[in-house]
Amino acid sequence: MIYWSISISPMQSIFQMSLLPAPGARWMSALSDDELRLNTNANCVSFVDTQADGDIKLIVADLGTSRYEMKLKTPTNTIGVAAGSTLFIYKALKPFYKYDLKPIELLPAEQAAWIRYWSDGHHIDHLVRNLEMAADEASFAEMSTLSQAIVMGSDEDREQLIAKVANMKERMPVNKSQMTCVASIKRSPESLVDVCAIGCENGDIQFVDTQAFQMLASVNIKSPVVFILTTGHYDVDFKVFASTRAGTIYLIQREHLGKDREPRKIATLPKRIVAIKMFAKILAVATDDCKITYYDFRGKRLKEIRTNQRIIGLETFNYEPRQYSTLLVAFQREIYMYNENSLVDVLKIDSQSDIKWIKFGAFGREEAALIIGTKSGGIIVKLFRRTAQLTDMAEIHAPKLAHNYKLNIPRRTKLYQDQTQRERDNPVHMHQMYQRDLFLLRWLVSQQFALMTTKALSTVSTSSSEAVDISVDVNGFGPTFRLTVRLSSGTPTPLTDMWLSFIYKKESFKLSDALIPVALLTPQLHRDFVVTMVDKASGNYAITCKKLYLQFMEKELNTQSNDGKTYEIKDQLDPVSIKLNHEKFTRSFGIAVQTEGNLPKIYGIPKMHKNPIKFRFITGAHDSTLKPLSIELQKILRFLHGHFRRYCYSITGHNKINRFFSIQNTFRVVQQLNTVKNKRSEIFCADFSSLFTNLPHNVVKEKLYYLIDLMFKNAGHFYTYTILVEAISPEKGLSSDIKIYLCRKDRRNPIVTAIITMPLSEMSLLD
Amino acid sequence: MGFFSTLSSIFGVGKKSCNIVVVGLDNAGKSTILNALRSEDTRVSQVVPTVGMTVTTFSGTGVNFSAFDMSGQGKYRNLWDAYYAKAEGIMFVVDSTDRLRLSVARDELWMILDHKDCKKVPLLILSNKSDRPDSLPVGEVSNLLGLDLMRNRPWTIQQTSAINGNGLPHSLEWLSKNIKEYMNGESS
Ligand SMILES: Nc1nc2c(ncn2[C@@H]2O[C@H](COP(=O)(O)OP(=O)(O)OP(=O)(O)O)[C@@H](O)[C@H]2O)c(=O)[nH]1
Ligand SMILES: [Mg+2]
Repeated sequence: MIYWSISISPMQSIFQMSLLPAPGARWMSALSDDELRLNTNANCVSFVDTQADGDIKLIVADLGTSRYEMKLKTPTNTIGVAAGSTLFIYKALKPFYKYDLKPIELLPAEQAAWIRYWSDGHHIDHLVRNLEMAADEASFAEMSTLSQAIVMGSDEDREQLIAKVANMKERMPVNKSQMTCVASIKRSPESLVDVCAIGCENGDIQFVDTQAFQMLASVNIKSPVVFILTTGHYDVDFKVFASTRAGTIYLIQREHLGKDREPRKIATLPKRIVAIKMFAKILAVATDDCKITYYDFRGKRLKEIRTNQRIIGLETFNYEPRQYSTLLVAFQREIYMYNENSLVDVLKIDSQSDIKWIKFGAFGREEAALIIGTKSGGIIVKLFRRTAQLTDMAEIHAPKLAHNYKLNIPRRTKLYQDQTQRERDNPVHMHQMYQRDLFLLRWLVSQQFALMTTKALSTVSTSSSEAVDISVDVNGFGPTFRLTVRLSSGTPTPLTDMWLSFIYKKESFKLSDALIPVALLTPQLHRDFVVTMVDKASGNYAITCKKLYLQFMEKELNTQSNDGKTYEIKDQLDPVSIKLNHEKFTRSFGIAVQTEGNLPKIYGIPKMHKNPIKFRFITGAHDSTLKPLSIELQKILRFLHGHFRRYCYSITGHNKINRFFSIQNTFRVVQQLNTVKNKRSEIFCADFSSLFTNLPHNVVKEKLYYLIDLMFKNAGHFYTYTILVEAISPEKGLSSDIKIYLCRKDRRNPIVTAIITMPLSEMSLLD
Repeated sequence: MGFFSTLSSIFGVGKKSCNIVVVGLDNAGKSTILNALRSEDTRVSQVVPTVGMTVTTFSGTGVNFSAFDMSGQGKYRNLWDAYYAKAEGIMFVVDSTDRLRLSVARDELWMILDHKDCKKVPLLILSNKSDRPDSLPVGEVSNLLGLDLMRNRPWTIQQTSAINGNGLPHSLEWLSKNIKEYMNGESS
């Protein structure tokens, strides 16, 4: 058995529980990692302050996944690792010393078998037969492991094993016992040095000095040792409890170390021992038959706790600040905490896997950490809350113990005697009465229950602008009810950041949660998605649920149907209603309805920068009914543009002030600004909240009239102009056009209105 | 900042004074941060784990702070309660490298906020030791502390390092501004 150690610092993994621990909770979840794949047990886990800096690490000896992965990884301080028949000591990251068990004499018959083999023609068959005979004579278990392997192995194995023996001294297998458990005892109250107590397969318990690595003493309890517990100081007085595989517990004290006295047998348990722990001068022994038995240190049986599940492990819980000393009992999925025989806490684990081992101690800078190892090789770390109080919860949870009940026998009063007399006289009648009452009670209860289920089924729904359906179920018939609230969203966009709040009379109810944050409410999704660019960030793509996309499209095209099928998932818009709508629309412009040909194409790209997200719709000019109109408009505007430019050039000749900039992009603006040398110039920046497409038509019209006036009526007149350069914040994208607004300086309040029908601007430097 | 407030802060006149309580687990760096916030000539060269609590003074923009530097050790944490009533601001320091105890920090933080003496004062959370390579990003610390559930009080979380001073000026400014606002709101 070779152990392989890795150290786990709390830094390696993290697991988040976004819920705060409930007010009464005694533990909080700190870390957890399901992916560690540790193969270990409670005996191979320990807490060590590796750097002696107060930051305590968890040391795990990993048994490896197969027998041959015998690597050693980074143990970090003075740690003892028992492996096979050797105790390895590591100090400051490096192997430091190795303590070997002394070999035991070979069985005479085994020895003879080997001598025969080497002297008598190397017959493997003979060797195996002789070894088998030797095993029958004494016991198989007492033979050396090599001989055992030869008897059990296949022919190929045998040859390899014999080759091994051939390499040994005297060509004989060595019989060494295996270490099964280790514990340490302090030498004296002041001493920093420990003595190791090592339990072995052959029943030896050896006490080894960890400085000189000498065996100080050894006792034998004649049966494989499986658990070892220590208390006290080696040089003063100590107690070592050792349990054998057979279920006997021995007490070894200082006086037993001499040859003359045998270790004292203090208890024998009928079933296999699962775990032994010591707490508050009590020995708690968990056995296979779902029982925990308490013994005092002299072996007197104190109490017995029956559990209704198989016990996986025990651990003592000590919490100094509150002077708690209790016992933790691990079951498959939960951990109970007993204060002697009353249950004080139940901790359920939230992992997928079952518990394999638990370990309690100081971890990191926390003094009360519980490490739970799971079957799948993961680790869960729970921390004891500072404010936690351990109070009895025995009444609710503990399995009822027969001998815990005190029978309440009434005194022999007159009333009592009359009653018993009455019972004796008419038992049949009383029984009938009782049965009738019981029936009536049951009937009443079922009636109430039926009533309640029908009542509870009526749901409350509130309609609001955000179409969320809420339905509430009430389950149970008191005093505790379960409220099930179902929310479903009918709005096309997901709703975020909402709260479910319960308003109730504090004196009538107690709710587990009165305010629940609702993370996200998404409507039912379509199975298809629409991939488009994102508005203002054409490098990004948006994947939109087709249902949402179609809903927006319908809204834009004004073809929402009101046939009430709210939850129907559409795949396509209704072409007939689009056509009808289109005709209505064109007619409203007084344009003849186009009956042939296709309608223009339309698509939408989501504006991810808006909340809630809306779509920008883009229509192709091709096939558009309004196309001839826009061509005309374009011509007019181009004419205006040209005219204005010429006008500006001509006035530039007079005063050298350029009033015309036609700007393609921001770089051009910067370039232009750089050419401005006038120190006294002032430049204003303005950020416009509304975009060009949102400009009110009448304002645009008014400005157009103004421009036309300016060019054609006031030609040759001079005005002073103020420049406003729009600064578009980068989040909104740089691709937006530059819009520069024009207003007259002599007006008191220059209105921020715009003339943007062409890329032109008016710029003036303040003299 | 207007001209007069700049002037007054230069001459130190008209400065308000306020109390803040500085809490967080032991070893989070509370004392080290307060030491770094003090003027250069009053700093100490060595910070030792606080026993019980100490009072430190330093000044922000327009405010003089008296900070109750509480010890974060488990056995002293029950002293914290006594100072909430006096405090006009709370500074909560978290060691962003101590993943194991972030849950403890969260537990303690919410216990403070649920305490009956704790008013709706500004709360500054410092995710400290950001200079260390194993420190968690501030967003993650914020999530792990459950700050998204915080309502009804001005709060912010700031990534700091008491060793190289990162984030401290900004934190101080935030605290000064919000405490001034809080105190104005109180007095009116
Ligand atoms: N790397 C690094 N170390 C820091 C930082 N801040 C504090 N430390 C170190 O953390 C340790 C603890 O700092 P303290 O200021 O004593 O912590 P505290 O929160 O006052 O602790 P208590 O007084 O015990 O509650 C010291 O060794 C500091 O040097 C930081 O920003 N970066
Ligand atoms: Mg301190």
